[in-house]
Amino acid sequence: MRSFIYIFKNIKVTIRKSPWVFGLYLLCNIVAVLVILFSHGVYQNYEVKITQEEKIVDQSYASITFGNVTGTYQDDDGPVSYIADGYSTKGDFAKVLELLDTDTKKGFTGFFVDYFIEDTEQFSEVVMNTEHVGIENRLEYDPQLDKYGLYYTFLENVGTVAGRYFTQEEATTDSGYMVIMYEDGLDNSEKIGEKITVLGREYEIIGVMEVGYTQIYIPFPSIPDDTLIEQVSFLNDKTISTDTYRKIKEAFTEVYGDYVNFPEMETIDEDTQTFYASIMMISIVLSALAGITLSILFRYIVYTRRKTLAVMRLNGCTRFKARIMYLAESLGLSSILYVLSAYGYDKFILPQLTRFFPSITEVYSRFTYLYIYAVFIGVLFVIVNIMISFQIDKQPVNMFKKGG
Amino acid sequence: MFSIGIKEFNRRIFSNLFIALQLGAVLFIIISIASSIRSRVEFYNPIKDYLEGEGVYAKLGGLSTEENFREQYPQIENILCAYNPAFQVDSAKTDIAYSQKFAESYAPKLKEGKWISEIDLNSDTIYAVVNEKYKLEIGSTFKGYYTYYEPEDTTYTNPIHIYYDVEVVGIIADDTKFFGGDGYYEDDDDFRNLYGTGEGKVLILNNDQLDNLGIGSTISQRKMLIQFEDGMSDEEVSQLESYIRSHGAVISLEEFRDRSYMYVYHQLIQLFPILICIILLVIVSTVSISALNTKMSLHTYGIYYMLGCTWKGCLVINLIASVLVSACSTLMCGLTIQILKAMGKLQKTVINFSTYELKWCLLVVAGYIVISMLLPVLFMHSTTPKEHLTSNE
Repeated sequence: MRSFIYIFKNIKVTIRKSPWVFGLYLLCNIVAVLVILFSHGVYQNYEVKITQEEKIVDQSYASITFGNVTGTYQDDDGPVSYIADGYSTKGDFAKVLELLDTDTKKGFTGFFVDYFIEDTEQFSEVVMNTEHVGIENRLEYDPQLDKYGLYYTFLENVGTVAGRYFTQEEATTDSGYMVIMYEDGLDNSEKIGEKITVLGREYEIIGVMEVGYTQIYIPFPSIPDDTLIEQVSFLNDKTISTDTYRKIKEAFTEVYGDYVNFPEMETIDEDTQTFYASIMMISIVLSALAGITLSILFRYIVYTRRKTLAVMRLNGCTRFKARIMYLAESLGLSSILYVLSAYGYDKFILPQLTRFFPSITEVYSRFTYLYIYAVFIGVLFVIVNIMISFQIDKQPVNMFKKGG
Repeated sequence: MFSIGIKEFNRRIFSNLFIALQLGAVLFIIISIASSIRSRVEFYNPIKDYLEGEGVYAKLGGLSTEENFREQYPQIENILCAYNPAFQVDSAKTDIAYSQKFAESYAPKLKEGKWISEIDLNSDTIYAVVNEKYKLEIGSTFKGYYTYYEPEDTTYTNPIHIYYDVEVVGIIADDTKFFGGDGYYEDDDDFRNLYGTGEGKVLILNNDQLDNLGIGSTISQRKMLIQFEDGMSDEEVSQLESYIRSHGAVISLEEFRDRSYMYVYHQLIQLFPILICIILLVIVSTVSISALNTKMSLHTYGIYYMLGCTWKGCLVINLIASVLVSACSTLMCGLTIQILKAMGKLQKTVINFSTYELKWCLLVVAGYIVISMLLPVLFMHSTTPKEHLTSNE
């Protein structure tokens, strides 16, 4: 109880002897609370914004088509793709791939290429029901080879019932291999090692895909240049940035001109994201700065009481008691100021901030205020403790000698 | 006096280092906010003068020289474009040139070296800025050639190559955006789309130097801004727009300007509350710390005064100590930035340290020194040395 009285006495003495220091301490405390609350809001605002943008950017089922537009299709809120009446050739598409620079190729996973096969009967040797047979390529960029090759995500999910799939070397060269589909009632595994002629050239069958895959797989370089492509889509493992999307469009437009129809899809603006990241970093350092300033001021207050503390120590006050006294003073004052500042922030400042940071109000709840309070008081507890340790000597006489 | 200043700094080394840490944090915030502001306007500022009045933003194809284009459309007042030089370097995939006037008003972020506006325009060696893909160093030279045909060679079958030395004077990073580096046009483009990273190896030359060497150039087929002369009627403007549209794709300058302005405005407005917060915190923390520092030093200054040092002398001692604190804080801030850079933490931010940010930092350091000089003056005026010495604080 006596220690409790001394806390008020200490405050009273500081107000009387160093009113401006005490005023500055209160001001810094209020500014620190406001800055920490604001910084947290700014940080979370952009965190929410970045997450929201990434969620909004739905790039699945975006298809690039060719020729005259005959309609559109959209999967839920995804990109709007155009249905068109034309085709590209594999040769022209290969030119597009050549035009893409390395950075652009690295900026997205790759392409899904859907071929148009007019004469499906040519596959009758290996497929019973040729009506729906098709050929597709999943092309993922391999930076080491600087070529489009195997799409590993696809391979992780599928396998072969007989034989094998292509190796990266076979997928990136004109190997002339083919992997055929599995069909009930047709033991295709016997076909492995056979050679068949489709698309105007000979292929060797090296594997049979798992059940459920109704396509014929041929490596991209082994497909003749005049093979027709119905549409090209993006593989969606990486979100495509605005810059990358523009570069892809530029390459397609250079080869096809107006003949190509690009889907209308959202992309991520990397410039904006780096800007947000910078502001988030500023908000963290702002909080740190507020903490540092506060601790320097409190250190000074403790410093000015060295003689008083020395006298108290000589009269029986233990180091532990002195520490508790100072901690209670500092944390108690900060707690009162936190409640007042947080109330003012919530009622008066926050409504104004929504004009600049639309998502900022979503950040704060009663729990958030309590959480920030806990962090604020926790950090203050550590810093003030360190400061007090430096100021309270083991020997009261040393404190007296050093004075203040 | 200098040694006493250093002694004074050493005497309270713990406090001073803590103050330096605080000032270092202030400098880091200043660098960050300056970088953020610059990142929002660095592409807008060089072109903003070309957004005034009537005109078009255009991507045109098949153009010849700027003179020919201007002759064709005399109502054109200004053209802001990159040029395609008739000078070839086999390895370059993107080779463009800027006029000296534009190069003086705009420079992309250089990784090292100097910009093409700082070269000798009358030199026989062609100076170039290249991107990292060239894997060349500053001062490296290679050959390039200018192709021309004799007037009697009407079928253009006998090209004549004149070779020149090309010296690398500057290097830009591969992901650095530069004017004319983007070739794709869309109807909702704004000023950001005038810039891009180019494709493959990039070679940037000074068009005025090429002119001096007799090497011609055509208007780049990438994007440009065209301003029409003042006083044209709406009808004349739309007629000229439609003429220019026959060469490619255009957006009216008004539409382009509005979109660009809205983007910059929207971006900068987001920084406004943060800026207020920074100013508030910087002022409060700088004043508080300077005041404390002074208050803690007054007792010592009283002793110096008793020993014959004038108040002015004490101020010099204070100045030296403040400068040392500033130096420590600059060092701390610099080290932090280097460490964060090495750890790759700044890679995904716009935080960068250049002369622009340096100016802001110098301003803050100067402010700190001035405040830390002013406060002792205020304290010394209002009290006597005896009071300082007998004070219990």
